[in-house]
Amino acid sequence: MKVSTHTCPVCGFDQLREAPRAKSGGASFEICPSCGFQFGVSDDDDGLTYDEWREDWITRGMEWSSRGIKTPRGWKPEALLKSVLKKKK
Amino acid sequence: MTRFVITALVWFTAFAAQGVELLSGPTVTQSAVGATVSWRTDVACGTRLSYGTSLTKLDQKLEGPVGAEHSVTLTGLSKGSAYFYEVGSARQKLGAGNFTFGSEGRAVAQSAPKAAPPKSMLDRLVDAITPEAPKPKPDATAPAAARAPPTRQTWGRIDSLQDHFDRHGADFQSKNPDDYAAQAWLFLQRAKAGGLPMKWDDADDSLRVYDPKTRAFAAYNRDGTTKTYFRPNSSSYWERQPGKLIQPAQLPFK
Repeated sequence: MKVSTHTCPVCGFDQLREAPRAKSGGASFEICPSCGFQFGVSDDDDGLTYDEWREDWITRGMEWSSRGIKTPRGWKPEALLKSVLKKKK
Repeated sequence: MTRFVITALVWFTAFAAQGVELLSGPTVTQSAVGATVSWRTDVACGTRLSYGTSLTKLDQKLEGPVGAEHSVTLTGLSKGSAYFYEVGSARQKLGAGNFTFGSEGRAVAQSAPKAAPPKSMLDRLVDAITPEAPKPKPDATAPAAARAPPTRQTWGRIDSLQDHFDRHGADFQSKNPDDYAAQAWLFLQRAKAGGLPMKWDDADDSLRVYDPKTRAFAAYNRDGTTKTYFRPNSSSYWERQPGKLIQPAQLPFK
């Protein structure tokens, strides 16, 4: 069975389990295992923008965030980040 | 020659398959001048601690020497302020936690994994070639966990639980991920008993529950398993959540 995946608008990680936002605007509450952004909390409660989180994550060395989900084989944060920044333009 | 290649392959596999492991800590010891965070790893590695007054902004970094015993002292802290931290090396995050400086000289909550005995080279090799063993059952001695079904039945994405616990467990003084998941399940039971407001969002079939008295908030999947559980800072958080208010009898799950 094919599992649909979604892309993190912060870091470009392309294996999120849920869309960050539903059509209602409601958040998924998923924590991106790559950059650690939690949709509906980091933004709606902590007031941080995608850009602010991304900048901080880059400053901290773009480390894999999750302790429960293993780093995927071949994970290349620089390439994923590049693709998400390209989409922004 | 063949023997040499096989031996080299075995050694390589044993080392490559296993990253640095946290054996104990991190623990926080406070003094009048600061807080010392200590932890121990199974092998020598770098020492790095990132910290800040917000979980989302660990903008202060401290480093120490390479070794298996790690200790970093934070100074210039504000009394009564909460601090969040992550420990590890430059390449790997090993643990996280938070503490309030000046609060009786102890950490308010720790989210670090429990210490494990050091692994021998043979154990490491066996680990590398053996499928992952099933996780131990929830701690039945924990009050919340004892009253809730097994975590695998109550938490939606089981591999995400550790991260939610790391981030929000301190909101509820949860002892461990199972305790945290059980507390989220008990919160839903209170809502189902009619004690808390609930919103249902048709867009993604999700349920949101809020306790105005304690500001606890949780979101659940369409089958009643938990998505997240935390205490928002924003006073308007609940009002801004989408969905329509529903009664327990309208829930699609028991």
